[in-house]
Amino acid sequence: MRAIDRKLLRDLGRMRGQVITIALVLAAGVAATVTLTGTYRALGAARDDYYAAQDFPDLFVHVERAPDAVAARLATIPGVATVTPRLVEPLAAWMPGQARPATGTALSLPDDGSLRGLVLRLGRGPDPTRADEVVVLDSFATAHHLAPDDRLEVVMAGRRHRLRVTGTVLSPEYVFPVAAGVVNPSGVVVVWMPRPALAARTGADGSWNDATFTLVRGADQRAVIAAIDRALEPWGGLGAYGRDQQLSHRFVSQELEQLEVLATRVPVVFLLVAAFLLNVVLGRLIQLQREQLAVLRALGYTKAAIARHVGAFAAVIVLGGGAVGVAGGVALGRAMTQLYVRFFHFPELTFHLEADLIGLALAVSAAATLAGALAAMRRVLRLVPAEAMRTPSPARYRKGVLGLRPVARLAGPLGRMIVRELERKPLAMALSVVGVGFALAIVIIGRFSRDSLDVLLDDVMARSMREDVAVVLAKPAPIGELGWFAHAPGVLAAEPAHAVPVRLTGPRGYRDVVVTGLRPGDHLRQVLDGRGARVPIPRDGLLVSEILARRLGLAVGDRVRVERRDGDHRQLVLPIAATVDDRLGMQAYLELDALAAALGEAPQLSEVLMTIDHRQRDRLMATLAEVPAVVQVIEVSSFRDAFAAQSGDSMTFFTWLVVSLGVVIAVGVVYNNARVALSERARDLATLRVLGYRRGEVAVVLIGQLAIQVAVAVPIGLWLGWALASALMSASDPEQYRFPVVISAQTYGFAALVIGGAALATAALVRRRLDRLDLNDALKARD
Amino acid sequence: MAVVVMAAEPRAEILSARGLTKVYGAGATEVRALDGVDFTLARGEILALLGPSGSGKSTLLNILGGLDTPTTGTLHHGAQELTRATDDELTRFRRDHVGFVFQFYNLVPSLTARENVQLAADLVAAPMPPEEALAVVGLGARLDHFPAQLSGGEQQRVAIARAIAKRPAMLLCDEPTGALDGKTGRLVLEALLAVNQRFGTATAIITHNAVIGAMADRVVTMRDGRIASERVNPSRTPPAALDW
Repeated sequence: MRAIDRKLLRDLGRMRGQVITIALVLAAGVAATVTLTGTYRALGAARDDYYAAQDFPDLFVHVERAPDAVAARLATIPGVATVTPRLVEPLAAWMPGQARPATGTALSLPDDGSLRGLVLRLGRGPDPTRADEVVVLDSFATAHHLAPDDRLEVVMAGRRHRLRVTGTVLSPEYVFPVAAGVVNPSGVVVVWMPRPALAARTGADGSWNDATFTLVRGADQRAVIAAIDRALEPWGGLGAYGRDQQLSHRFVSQELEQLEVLATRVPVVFLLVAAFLLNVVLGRLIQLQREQLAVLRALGYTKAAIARHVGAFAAVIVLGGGAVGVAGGVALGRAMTQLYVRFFHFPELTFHLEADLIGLALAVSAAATLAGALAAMRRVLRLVPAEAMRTPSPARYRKGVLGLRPVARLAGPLGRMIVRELERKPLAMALSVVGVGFALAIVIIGRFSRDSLDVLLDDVMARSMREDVAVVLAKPAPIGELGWFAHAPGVLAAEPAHAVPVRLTGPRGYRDVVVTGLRPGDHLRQVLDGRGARVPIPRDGLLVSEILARRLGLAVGDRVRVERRDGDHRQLVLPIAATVDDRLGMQAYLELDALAAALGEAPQLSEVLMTIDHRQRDRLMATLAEVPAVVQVIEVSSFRDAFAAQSGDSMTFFTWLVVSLGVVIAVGVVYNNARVALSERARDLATLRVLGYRRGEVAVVLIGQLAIQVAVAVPIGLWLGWALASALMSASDPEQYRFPVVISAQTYGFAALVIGGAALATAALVRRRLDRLDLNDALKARD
Repeated sequence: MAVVVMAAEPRAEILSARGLTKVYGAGATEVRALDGVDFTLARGEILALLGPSGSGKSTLLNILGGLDTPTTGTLHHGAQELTRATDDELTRFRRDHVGFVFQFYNLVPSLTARENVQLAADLVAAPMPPEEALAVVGLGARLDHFPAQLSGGEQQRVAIARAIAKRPAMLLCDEPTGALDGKTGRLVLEALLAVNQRFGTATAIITHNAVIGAMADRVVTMRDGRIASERVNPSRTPPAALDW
């Protein structure tokens, strides 16, 4: 081995603490890239493959009832590849041990009796000659340990039915099983049965009420939707919609979008920090090695040889950090993918490490290192060999550069040493501060989504959905029916709501939304603005979400075209009476009576909101289960719990991931700063000891410098965290969520604690080194 | 007892400089570190370069060794004009022909004595084995010691071994005994003399210790960037006989 290579190895060994911490920062960046990008790709590929294999429909439409002949006509619409008419019927299932029924849907199978579009997991498909055989959604079957040959009792079309399970299936329409408000797999029941059997039970022989479409490549989806809507108008078509409105697809896609944002932004932050660290640390290491490198030059080593020597040092960090990062990223990616397996039901969802991902990770880490090492490298190449011949001169210190002179005067000699050191290298100080600030910001990023979720649950849900139970009716009923619900056992108060699906059209386009009719004096459903203040429901026009008005190109006072999407499909024009900067979705409200008047009908209700006596809850649930008109019973608390549990799981993982990475960075920056400072000042500090200063006093000089850096970095980091959180937030779709960047005091405190802890641990390490400082060594002539 | 060699016939020049000047800064802050120096170094000679601090000795030595370039003037190594050489050519020149010894040794602390010497040996096609180079300076027994385990004099002798391992035609030494006490300093000078006698290496020693001049063939004294005087010693005094 050449001597210069041996020097490299020994240098790496001697500086292993620094080498390892920098490599870990880089590894954190690479791991974040591999984990997030890999999981994003795994999820995307799982979805796309599944959709392609099962011919996931492009369009969906629900009608009141249409004869079979109409389906054949739909197939002739230009752009339509296939039409699959089917029967869809809401159902509820009482499962043992459940206090309230699972809700969901019964769907008819294709007329050829096949399980087209489904993936059979267990058992077999239903026998078309048997009226009671069904296949059940796998997630529901698993949650309730249902197996082939088990019985399943359901309420459908107002009657009880005993069904026999022949198998369990996966469906691309239920990758994420969700039925209006229920996201818990045990609460969402979906069964498929042959059409004649379902028709017999719902009295829908020779007709269908739902259809799915696949389109030919390049078809104009909007034009096809318009044609379908025209064709189905006489049959009570509710308006065709694309995948973007399909619930399961929407959840999956949202998750993918969020992952994409994380996968593209979070690693960038890490790698920037890593590059920055490498820059600072390599730069200072080279500074420390100046004389040695100059000697090499004097001996006759070429610039290229020296550059290779320094470059090899950086390369070891890149390769080491890259390898650890790829391995860690794969492990984390598998764990994260497993997390998705729990709530996204794909036939196959596995994390693969693709070669290009390793290439990408290594390329980014090499780029980070190169960016980091470039300045240092340039300094090496500028190094004059005569440097080695020069008598060492004391480093240049100046007084009061940062206006700290009064501080220095008050501080005594040790304090002055700290202040002058900071003043001597304001740039190094600034860079260190920014590095620590970034670490802190990353910890904040790891926690702030939890804060936003708290706001969603506490503000939006708790304060605007004040009911205990929401009962959804199969179809609107006269307002007088409210009395029955109000007197049901355990009901303390009952209020009506009428949700009417409409299409609102303005100069900039249209949106399919729901207009909710509410009574002015009621209080269970409240519309809240961005500051949490209650907004009254107007009677002379619509109250709409600000984003909705903006997307339609409308302002308060403008008139909006309203087309009813159910019932008589009547068209009307209503003024926008007010807008509200609410947080969720695109909403429209009108007073219940005014809504009825506009629709030309007597006041109706489609939902009953209740507060209940919780001691009588089970009795109430049993009563409601007997009412055929009730299709869904939503308990806000269980909805909240399920939502919190589900989002909580992935959030805990993400928080844990990002916080650990933040800690790695914090330790990387603080430790490296301290070590470089220690080696630069070893002589000064040893001199202090020789003069008679105690160990603790000497430590103050170094640790004080560290403490000042961290103290200055904390407020900067808090601000950086807020800025990064805003950047991440800006990537979510405002039509769905509009959250202000919420960062709780606890999150700020937690981040500051994490960084403080890292700094303290580093201080302890440095202190130990200082205590072991060999005075003779430190005071010897150079070398 | 070292053999005393007479400086009899004139020897071939290995380096020759004409009108070297080196100016640092400009205007009011201008410093003329060298001011029109003519200089030669002959094969096999030992040359002492004396002068007070700031007289231009180190600047001259740096330029002679290709570590620095003059502001004006010419420097030839044989037929090669070093003052026109590129950085790469200067590196080549140092690598093939020059060994340096610094006042503060400048050993690489992470390498042992043997490895420090090998660091230089790796650069040339036919180096002296590190063990041999260390034996020449009397350190054959301390091959595997790190610099921190060696005394100042031993470190300086490792530096000399490192300088000669390339079998250079000239050794340029900048205050090689500056950081050492008399006894240790003499050991180092013995090592330089041994190298000179064994390999005929032209050796230029910068010092402001006039006593050292007695062991040289020629003594050049500098003052204010110029050569103030030059004398040829009739005979070289062995280092052991030097008294400071």
